[in-house]
This record gives sequence, C-alpha cells and structure tokens, in this order.
Amino acid sequence: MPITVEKLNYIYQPNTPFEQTALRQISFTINDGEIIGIMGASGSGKSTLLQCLNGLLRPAGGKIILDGIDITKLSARELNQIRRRIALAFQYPEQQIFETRVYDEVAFGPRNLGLDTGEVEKRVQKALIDTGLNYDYFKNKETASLSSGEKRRVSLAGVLALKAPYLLLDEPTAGLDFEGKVALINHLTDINCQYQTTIVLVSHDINQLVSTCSRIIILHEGQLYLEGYPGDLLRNYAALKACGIEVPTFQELIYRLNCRGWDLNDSISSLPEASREIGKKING
Amino acid sequence: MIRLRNITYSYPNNKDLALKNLSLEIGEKEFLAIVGRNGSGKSTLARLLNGSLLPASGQVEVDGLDTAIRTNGVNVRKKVGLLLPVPDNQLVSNIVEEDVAFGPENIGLAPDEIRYRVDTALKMVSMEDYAKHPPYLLSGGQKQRICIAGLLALRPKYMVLDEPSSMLDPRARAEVLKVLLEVKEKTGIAIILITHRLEEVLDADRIAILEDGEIKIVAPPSGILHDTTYLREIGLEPLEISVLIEHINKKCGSKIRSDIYKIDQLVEELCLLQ
Repeated sequence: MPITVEKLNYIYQPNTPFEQTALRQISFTINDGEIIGIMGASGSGKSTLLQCLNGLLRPAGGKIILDGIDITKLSARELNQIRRRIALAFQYPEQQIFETRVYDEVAFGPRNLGLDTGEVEKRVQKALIDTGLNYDYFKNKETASLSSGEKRRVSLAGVLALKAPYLLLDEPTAGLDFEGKVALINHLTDINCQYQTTIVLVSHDINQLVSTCSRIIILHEGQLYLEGYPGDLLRNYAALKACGIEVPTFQELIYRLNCRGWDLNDSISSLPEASREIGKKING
Repeated sequence: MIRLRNITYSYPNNKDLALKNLSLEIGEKEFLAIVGRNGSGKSTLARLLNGSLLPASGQVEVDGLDTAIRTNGVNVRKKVGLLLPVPDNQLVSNIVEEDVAFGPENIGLAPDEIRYRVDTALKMVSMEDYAKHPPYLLSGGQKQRICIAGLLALRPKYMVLDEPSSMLDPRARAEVLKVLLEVKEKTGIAIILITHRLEEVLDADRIAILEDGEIKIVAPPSGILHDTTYLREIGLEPLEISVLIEHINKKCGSKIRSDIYKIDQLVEELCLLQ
C-alpha cells in the first residue's frame, strides 16, 4: 500500500528558547514499489522526515498512513512492529554499528525478528555480498577495524538483511567511492525490481537521484518546495539554485552559455543531450 | 619536509598489507592531494604522517624527527595536525572556543597566548561569531571548520585532512575547501588532503594516486585529471566537466582542450569556438 503523509509538522525542543520547526505542513504520497528521492540543503528537514516516517520521531501534527494505519497515533510497542516493515539506515554508520563482529552486526536485526540460525546466516551472507563485501573475509572482522567505506556497507547490510518492504536510506552513498556508489545504487534498483521494495532515498547527488528515482521531492526550510519527475525538476534551474541544490555541470554550462547569448534549448535533462546541443552549435 | 621511506603497514590480526613499500616526500607549504578508492590505504597513510600509527618497516620523518622514536611523539604531533572525517569524533568541549583552546592548554601555553591563538584561529575559519556557541548546534560544515581551528591553534607546519568533507553536503564541502585554501594562502601551512572527490584537488600542487596500498602516480592535477579512462580504472569518478568535454568533442571533432577543469574556462573556450 502507498504511504500517505498529510500535513506533517515537527518541532524540535518545543516550548523552550531553542524551539525550532523542522517540518511544516508536509504532504505527499509514496507509491507502492517506487524509489522516491528526497533532496534539500542541510537543515532542510530531510533526516527529520525520514525519522518521522519510521516512527523514531513523533510529529507535532499531521498524519502518516502506512498500511492503512496512522502511525503517529501508535504506542511505542505498536511502533516496534511497524519498524520491522519500514527500516531506516542512519546517515552516520558510527551511530548504527554497535556489535564487535561484522557477522553479529548484520545478524542483529534478523535475530530480533525471531528467525532461525540457518535463515539468519543466509540473510547475513546475502546482505554482505549485496553490499559488495566478501562474506568469508568480512564475517569475523571486528567492526572497529573497518575503513569508513566498509562501515557504510556493513550498516546498510544490517538494514537490508531485515528484508523490510519499505526502506528509508539517509544518504547511503556518503563516503563511498565511485564504484561503491554505483554498486550500491544498482543493488537498490535490483531489490526494488525483485521484491517491489519501496525505497526512500535521501541524497545530495542530483545526478544519482535523477537516474535512480521515479519521483523526487525537494525540501526547503522544512517545507515541500518542489515535487516532480526527475526530468522536470532538472529543467528548473532557478528553483534548484534557490534551494541550495548543486545543479549538474551540464545544466550550469547551458545556463552560462545562454547568458552569453547561445540560445540553447534549456529543457535538456541529460549530459549526452547537452553535448549534442552544444556540438551542433559549434559545428554551425 | 615529511619523508616516508619504504613504508609497510598492516593492521593487527590481518596478514594483508595496508601499505606496501611506500615512499613519498611532502614539501613545506605544499598542497598535496592523496586520492584513491575506499580501502586503498588513504586513512592509514594519514595516520602514519603524524605518528598516530607507526610503520611496520620503513621510516617516517617529520622535519628530521623519526616518528617511531617515542620522545619525538609530542613534537611530531605539534608539527602535523590531523583532521578526522567525522567532526563529532574530534570535538571535545561544550563551547566552541574551549574546544579550540583544548590543544594549546594541553601543551601548557600561557593564558594570554591561548586567548590570542584561539581568536586568530577562529577568525581564520570565519567562525569568530560562534566562539560562545555549543558545537552541537552547528552545521556539519561549521563543526568541521571548528576542528580546523583547533588544529590551527597548535600552529602546525602540516595539516593532514582525512576526507574532511565526505559527510558534508555540497555547500558545506565548498565552504570547508575554501577555508583550507585561505588558511594555506595566509599561513603557508602545508595541506595534505585525502579525498576521493576530484573536484577538491583542482588547486593542489601535486596529486598522489594510491591504489591497493601503493603509490601509482604523483603528478600535478593537469597531468592526471583529463584521463577519464584511467581514473575510472582506478575507481575514481572523473570530473563531470571532463566527461562533458569528452562528449562534446565526440560531437564536434575534438575541438575543445581536455585539460579544462573549471566551468568559467570552458564557457570562454566554447565562446571562442562558436
């Protein structure tokens, strides 16, 4: 079932001098089996929104309807059940990893689901391989001895091993190198296809979201500023700039060239298309 | 000068070498970028530079001081400041200026001197207005700048920055990089920047490419960055502008120079061609 967010508000430290409204009247729908992207500058409310979605934060107002239930009204115990279905990977792996051995770290979730040892092992193995880690090499490694890229992979493996129908990922590729990013995104699209997993992906990398997501939402100062298909958003140079979003280089180039009177088609939404347009102009 | 001679290093309980027979010299006032994929040995190398880790064999010398000699420890770390990727792991106090003062206090400086150093360091990273703020209310980029101020207050000759912006958003990344370049300009401190983002190495004097624990190439940016094929081979994402030039050249018969790395330059070049 789709997730419906209605007029969601969140306020940090309400009724204190530090009171800060992080989300204002956010409404949108996440369709079943969709990969949806969330962008926005730091402090725009992205992480707060994700944490509301899996019930870690309780909003000040509004509704989140998941599987037909408004999760903002549930008790802590009932939320535990919800979190088995909607899994969240934190922005910093350090905040998530607490076991000493890689195997135990990834097995923590599946064990808590009450799965038998064989199934747990199967899931750990699959999750590690899927995140690009060699199972036999890494299973007995100490989590503290991992490099930052490896920690990132292990923390994601722990979430993937839950096989939740909804996945919330807070900048999952931060700190990963080029190959790591590509591999992870490929894996996410794979599980999306294979299990119809609904994925909410927070990222700063517009190119990555454009190529992965069916829709993108842009938050700006706690409000939903733009929502649309990737191609449509890319054409919105001014709006992206206004939200502090780094636009792709090809788009920046087209904008600058047009300022110099080039008269290029500004509804271009990919690098090859942009190259073709510019090439044509040069060749006259 | 920091001199590494035939360094090898492996972590405890691990047979694989993290660094293999690595030699490198880093000059005073230099901006050296060290790039490579995850797990290529970048962070290990960073920690060897200030004696946080000691080589299994070979020698690391900072201005002639061998880091493996215990009594050199304090002096080596005074000369070489190390910044970690996640600022929260490096911040120790509840007030910004106390955090910056932590280093100077620990080496026993006089109160006046500490005050002076803290103030200048905060000014250097444009955070003087936040001296009395608690660090936890700052953004990631601001936190990272406070950590840089903390290093500056110790007046290092070399600053090693281990992926200072890998956890930051684009705006904060630009902010931190700008501060680093300003600091280098004003103080002449050598910058050793570890990263896998090539946009950050455009202003480096030299780039060292680390692959599987070995240094493959040391060259100025112009000698490396345009080679998109090679960069992909060693697991680095070429600059978007290089990919764009590559594509345009395919359409118009290689008229654009491939060693353009900044968009202003590309705009000028294209306007000349049109």
